[in-house]
Amino acid sequence: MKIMNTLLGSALVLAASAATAAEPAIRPLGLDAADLYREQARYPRSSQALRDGVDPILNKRQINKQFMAGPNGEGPMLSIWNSAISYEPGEKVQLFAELVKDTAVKPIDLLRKLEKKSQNLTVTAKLVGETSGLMGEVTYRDNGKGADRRAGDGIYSASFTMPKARAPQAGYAESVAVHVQAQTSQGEFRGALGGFLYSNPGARLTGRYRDEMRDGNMVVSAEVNVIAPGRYHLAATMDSGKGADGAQPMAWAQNAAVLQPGKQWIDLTYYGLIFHDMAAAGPYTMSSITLTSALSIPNAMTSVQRNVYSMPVHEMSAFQARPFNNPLLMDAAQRLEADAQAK
Amino acid sequence: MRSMIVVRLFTFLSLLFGATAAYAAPCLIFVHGKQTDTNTYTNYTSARNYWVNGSNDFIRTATKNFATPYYVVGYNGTRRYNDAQAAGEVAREIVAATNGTADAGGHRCALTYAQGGTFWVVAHSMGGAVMDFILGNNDATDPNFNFGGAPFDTASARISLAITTGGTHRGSQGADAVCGQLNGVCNVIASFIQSCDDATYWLRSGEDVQVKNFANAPAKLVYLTGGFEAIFGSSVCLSGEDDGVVQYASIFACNGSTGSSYDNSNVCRNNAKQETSGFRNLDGAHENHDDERNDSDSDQRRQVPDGIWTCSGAPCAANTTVQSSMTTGRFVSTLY
Repeated sequence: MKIMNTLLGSALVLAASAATAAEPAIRPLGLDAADLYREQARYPRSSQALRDGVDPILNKRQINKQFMAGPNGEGPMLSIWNSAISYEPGEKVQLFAELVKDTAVKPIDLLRKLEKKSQNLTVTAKLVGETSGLMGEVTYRDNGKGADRRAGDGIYSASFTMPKARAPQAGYAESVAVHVQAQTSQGEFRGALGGFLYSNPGARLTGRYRDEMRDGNMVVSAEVNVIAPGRYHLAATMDSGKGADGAQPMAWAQNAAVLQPGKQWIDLTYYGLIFHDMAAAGPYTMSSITLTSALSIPNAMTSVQRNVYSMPVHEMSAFQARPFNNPLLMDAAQRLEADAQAK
Repeated sequence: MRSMIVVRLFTFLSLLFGATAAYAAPCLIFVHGKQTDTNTYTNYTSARNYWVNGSNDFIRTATKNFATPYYVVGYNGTRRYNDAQAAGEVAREIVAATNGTADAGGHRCALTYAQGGTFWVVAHSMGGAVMDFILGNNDATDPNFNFGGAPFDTASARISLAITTGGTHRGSQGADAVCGQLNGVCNVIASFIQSCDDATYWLRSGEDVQVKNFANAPAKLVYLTGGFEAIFGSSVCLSGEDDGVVQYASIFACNGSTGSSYDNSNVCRNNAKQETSGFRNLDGAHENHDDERNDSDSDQRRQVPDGIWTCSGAPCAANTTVQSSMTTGRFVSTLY
């Protein structure tokens, strides 16, 4: 089917650009999408192969450096970032700031030297909850003490412990904006606005896991202790291979359920065909897992737990090799291809 | 299966030997961007005029002078992208469109979903984040499945694909400036965004509001295009190439830092997006944020890494000028 779509697409490109053979052309978008849908349809949406070796859970937790230029676009820019996306009550938030020439280059050495010499760049921040207002104020330091890793490196650091008294209700989260203000020794201001989630998860992973083969798929169950009733979302990435160097993310799975208080199990089904397609002979490790309280938006997130469980190696024949043929995607592909065939 | 192959072969040969290449047209569903008032939600003319500038009309161009059926969505663009009057309303209107219901201007899709119709969403600016939220929460296993009772599942099932132009997939540094209220921020962009209402607050580039943190990979493909024509003043506040309001890192849904500096030669490829699948690059246009949705600037288009354009049968090199004069509206019309 993919070959036919490619031929059909090529023919359409040829026809479309026949008058101007050297002109850039466009492959019909519908056929491009149809090919991808047929590929994706091999697995259910809740269980995906990771062909690029990228862990989708860790991918979303990457440090996000934000940048803001000065008035009228003047340099240097103020760059700010946090140590994490989300923090829980009593957890220490680590905040960072530095002045940079441009986002594409490293901080200006000259600028750093100037600031190091003057030692009086002032960086402060106000932490403001979207609904609850001012939570606290911090002063950043570049003195190698406390939250600051290295004195005089141009990276100013601060920490703030999330006040338990201001915690959202169990199962909920609040957006917290970080208003950062920097003033150079010459009296020049820079400002930037960051943010993180103040999460109070309504359920937690207990650390107990179990697995079984079910209908040719690997089902890994995680026990959760639910405090607040509501909807919870669990996602985990499985690595295959030996050792820290050899292990590669090979599959991701998710599930969600409305749960009542108490200890309960959530199943994650890793579709059998993925093990064939990825030639994943094991051993298998649940390399990252995260539980989210999805009672409201913003969701209350927990930190990502790493390498929590190892699964036994199974013969490849134990895994089913049938494509799932996701009907949502197969239908979309058929419609797009029918459009392409029509005159 | 054999008959299908014969039909396909016939189609292929007829095209190869000179028959006119033509597609059955999808129905185009237009989703606007952020608003400073609720007019597009309450008044069809406002929603329709979002796509118009004087005699220039994005919808007219994208639909090939209205030959292609279309539907114009109007939602509350002052609310956060995940709100019932934003994503919820858009999902409901998509379902209505695919049922053959006319929009408030009397325009309807020629074929319903049940009749075999195909439906392409064209979304601008905040419409990108709205679509990410809908398409990323369509399945019962997704974190915010059918949030607030909205029919994300049905809407996602019926959409064939989405195209975003100037999409705020990772927020806007302009929203940071407006909501920052700080000394020393890049203030010249403020007039382009105006106020820090709920929609703006949730279009910041901070992690607390990123749609990727509240959605999964889109259930249907989201194709990405956007402008690189600076707006005098505001663009100095944005990292890398931008359309005057949204930076490339957001327009092209890049993973990592929202302030990364990208241009047409190095913007993130299809395997480096905010999700591990579901986002695909189209191209870049020498248009600003308004031009992207009102068809008023027919200008250069450039290939981006993993872009849609081919040169002599192979993908054009990134940053190649692939068109010297083509609006995004016209570009959309060439995609089907």
